[in-house]
Amino acid sequence: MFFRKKKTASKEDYFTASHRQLIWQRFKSKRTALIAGWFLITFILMGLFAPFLSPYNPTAAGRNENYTNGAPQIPQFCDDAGCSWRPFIHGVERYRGADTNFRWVTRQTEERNYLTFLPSDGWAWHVGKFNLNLPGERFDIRAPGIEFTTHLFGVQDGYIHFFGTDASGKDILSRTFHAIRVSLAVGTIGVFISFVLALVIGGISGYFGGWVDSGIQAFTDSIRVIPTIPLFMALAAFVPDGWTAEQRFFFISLILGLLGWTTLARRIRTHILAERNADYVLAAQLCGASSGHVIRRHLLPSFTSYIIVDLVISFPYMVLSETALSFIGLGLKDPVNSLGVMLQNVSKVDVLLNYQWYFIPVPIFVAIVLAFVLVGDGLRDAADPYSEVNK
Amino acid sequence: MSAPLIDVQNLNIRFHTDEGLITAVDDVSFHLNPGEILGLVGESGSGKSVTAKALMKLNAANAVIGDKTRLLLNYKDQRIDIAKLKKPKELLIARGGAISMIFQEPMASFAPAITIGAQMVEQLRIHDKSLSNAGAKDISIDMLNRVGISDATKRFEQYAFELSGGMRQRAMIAMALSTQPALLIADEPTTALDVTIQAQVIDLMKDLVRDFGMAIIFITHDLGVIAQTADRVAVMYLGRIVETGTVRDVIRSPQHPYTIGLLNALPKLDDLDAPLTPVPGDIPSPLDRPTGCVFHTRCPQVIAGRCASAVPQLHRIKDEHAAACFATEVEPA
Amino acid sequence: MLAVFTLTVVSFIVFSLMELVPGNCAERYIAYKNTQGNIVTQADITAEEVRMGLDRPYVIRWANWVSGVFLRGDFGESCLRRVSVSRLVGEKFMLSLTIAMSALVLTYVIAIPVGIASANLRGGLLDGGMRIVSYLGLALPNFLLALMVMLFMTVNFGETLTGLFSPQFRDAPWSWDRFVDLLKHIWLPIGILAWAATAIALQTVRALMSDEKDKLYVTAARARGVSGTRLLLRYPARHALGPVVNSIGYDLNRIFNDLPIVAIVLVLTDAGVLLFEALAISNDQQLAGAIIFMITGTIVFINFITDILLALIDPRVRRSMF
Repeated sequence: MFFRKKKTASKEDYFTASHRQLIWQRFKSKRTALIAGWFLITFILMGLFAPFLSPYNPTAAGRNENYTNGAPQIPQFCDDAGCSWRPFIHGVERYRGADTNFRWVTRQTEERNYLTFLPSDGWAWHVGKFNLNLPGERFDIRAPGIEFTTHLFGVQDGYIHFFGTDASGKDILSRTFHAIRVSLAVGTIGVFISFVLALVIGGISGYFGGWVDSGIQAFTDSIRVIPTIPLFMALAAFVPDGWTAEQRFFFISLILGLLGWTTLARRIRTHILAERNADYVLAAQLCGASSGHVIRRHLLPSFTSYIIVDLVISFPYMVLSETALSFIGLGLKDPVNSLGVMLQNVSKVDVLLNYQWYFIPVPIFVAIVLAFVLVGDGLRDAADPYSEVNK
Repeated sequence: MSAPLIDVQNLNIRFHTDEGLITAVDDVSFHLNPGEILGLVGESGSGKSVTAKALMKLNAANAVIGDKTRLLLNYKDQRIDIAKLKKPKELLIARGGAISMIFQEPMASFAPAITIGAQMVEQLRIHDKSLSNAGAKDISIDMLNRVGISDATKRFEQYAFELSGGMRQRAMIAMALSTQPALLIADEPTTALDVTIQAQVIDLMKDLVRDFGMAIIFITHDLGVIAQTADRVAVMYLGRIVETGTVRDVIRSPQHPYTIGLLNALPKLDDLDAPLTPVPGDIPSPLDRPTGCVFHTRCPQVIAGRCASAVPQLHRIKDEHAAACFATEVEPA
Repeated sequence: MLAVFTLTVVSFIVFSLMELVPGNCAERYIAYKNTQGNIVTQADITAEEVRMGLDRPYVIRWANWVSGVFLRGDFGESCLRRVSVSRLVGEKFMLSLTIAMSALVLTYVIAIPVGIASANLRGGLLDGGMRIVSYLGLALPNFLLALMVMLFMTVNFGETLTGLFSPQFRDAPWSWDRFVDLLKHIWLPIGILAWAATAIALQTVRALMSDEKDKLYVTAARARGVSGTRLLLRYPARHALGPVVNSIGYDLNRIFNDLPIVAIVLVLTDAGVLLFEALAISNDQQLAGAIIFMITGTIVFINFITDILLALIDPRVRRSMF
């Protein structure tokens, strides 16, 4: 065995690159994953800036009474009266007359309604507003936050609905933005809770090994065999009807988190088991470092990148669970908008035949999950030193 | 002497990768007579394993063999170009028929969930359709006895993970020889073994060559092992043969600067104080193969202007001894 | 051994969760009676609690429940309906089990051969198509698929395809005709449940096969002249089987996860055929606990079976056991 190195000095930076840099480099070379990544970032931004992007309040407060079950309004540049540089839509009016058998119908008028950008007279939204209603008045936390009324776009007069409206006249576009926001938030909180649990349980199990490990593993296995959705259904059925939308929201995130930690805990345990016998850990222990210090400062940094990958992979499952539960009416409910709540509206044949625009959130939901799965897969392949790209 | 058992002409192997076509073996020619042991020496990445695998067409699916390549096998009055074999039936002669191979890691080369016996019987019956199960079992147990495995009947029923390392390599040899091939390719067969077991396995292989009259291509990076076993040796560097000849000639009077470097890098048992002189530099990445002589980037005797532009061909030095180097060409030793 | 331990832990978790739910069985029952027009007092509640043994310590009640389940197959009484849980959900559970198991079988019947073929033709057309299907299996969840199939059928054929039985067979006793009727309906939930499970199982099989077929022993087998289907099935496929068997339990878990949602979309609850209305609507903690325990028990049992299978398949596991 004379020489082992195969690469030249020009590849030096390849050898000295940190693990995270390597993952990132390999990830960048996968086109599908990269495109999915851009989609994902777009969706996340949509969620973050949902109030700014939404022209109207997504709840009943922002409904357009004159345009219920309204079709999407596509902005146009030209009409019979000629063209204009500013995009516009036609106004709508409620009309009842002999020609409609005296029933109310919605019809378009000839009047032009021009699009405006960054109107500052929209509905109010807040940054940093925070209300927490815990049992007992004393624990309530309130922060007023900063109020904004500016939105990305609007129309001069009345309403514009790119995605149409639902049965009560709520703007589907605004609802969709907020649904993305809520679904991502539920996922984030759920992933965060399961991550903390997994870190603590997996960390202890892997670091101490022996009977502690065996005990925790047997316990984890027991949790793993319980199918979460039936269990969740049982629990959700007992949620008091009087709970507010926020309480439901936190309850669901909490349950998703409490049920979802097992796989991640297992992975963390395996990582730590493999690493804890490494020489550098022994060195730290010989220097008198405490267990907590060794776990935090030495073991965790050695595989943070793997943990991040695992988190991304587990995210779509959280979103899926929330959607599925809301869809069957056990998760979030109106007036909270989540993708599951929105999908609930499309389960009727009537909708398919008459109000196809209700389906707009469906492809968006599919795209979000797909983006997460593709990015997760791309990251996993990039993080795995024996993956196909690396051959 | 009659026609050589194996005659490799202009072997050229490239691999399709994301970075384009990568040359692994470049214009390699050598031959092997029946009963002869040829040592293929080189660092990892020198193309020696790829060369050996080509003889059985075992290279990965992205390998491309050059048009001019001839891999001629003279076996039982037949003359076959292995490079032209396509169908699994035709390939049988190169895979276990006339040629067998043993691998570096005996553990990994046995299927873990199939008994050793079953794998041996399977091979025997593939190559001899008329053989019965019982007949194949008898041959297998006989072979296991022959390579010095105690309690062969019991081992026959066992799995690879139940055997010790040396035992596994013996079983691997038994399996490779059971079809009585004319050529055995041994790809670093002793690297994964303890030194004492290494010696036993090498002795075993030498005995078997004598008994079966079989030729061996012995692949290794260890010149010491070659000195003990081989008749002739070919030194490879970055997919080219840089020097070839009888073991005696090459080790006593190496010509190519690379061979000289390899020999200097060996520890000398008679003079333990002598410093080890490694070959300077690293083997270049196959992605950027040097132009001209592939060794010129590390060569202490590089001739400015010549070595980087022209490719030196093997030229005869004495009898079978040949080297591919401009420096030795100018003034023969 | 481990299976019994797991079941005990599971029973404890399930039992505890059911206890944590606000309100106990007695209160719930009395409240239910209340809605029926009876007037009840606090004394009635206490009496009911004593009758049901709710005044005894927690651990003892758990022990009673578990021993009842294990020794006598007795899951206790439903809170509201006052009949034995086993009688209430027996048939419904068997139907759910049939659906889930059939979906599981269908999943592997598809996933194993297709996965093997796809790994073998890595990068080819089949492989590419399979990857797309796998991703869609995740991103187009069961309930959406069920919804789409249902809407499509309704609009184009005027058939709803919902439920498990035609109206005339709903409450009829078992007969050949009823069985045939069931077969006419049951394929849809089975197919839909198998959809997502297949997508995931396909990826598992493909990944395992890709791993195995690059291993040295496969090359060694090729070097011995083994080729074609024989090589594929006897070497990489045979050795990838172990981990695949190992994943069966988790796939069943996943199918049970999806089952209630698909059941709701396809209105499998219409005749009270399936058990999940009990979970979601009736607030019956005794019933809910029993159902979850039955499902989990099934999964644990399947895991136990796959462990035995694994030992049969893999000599290394076999030798380590004896």
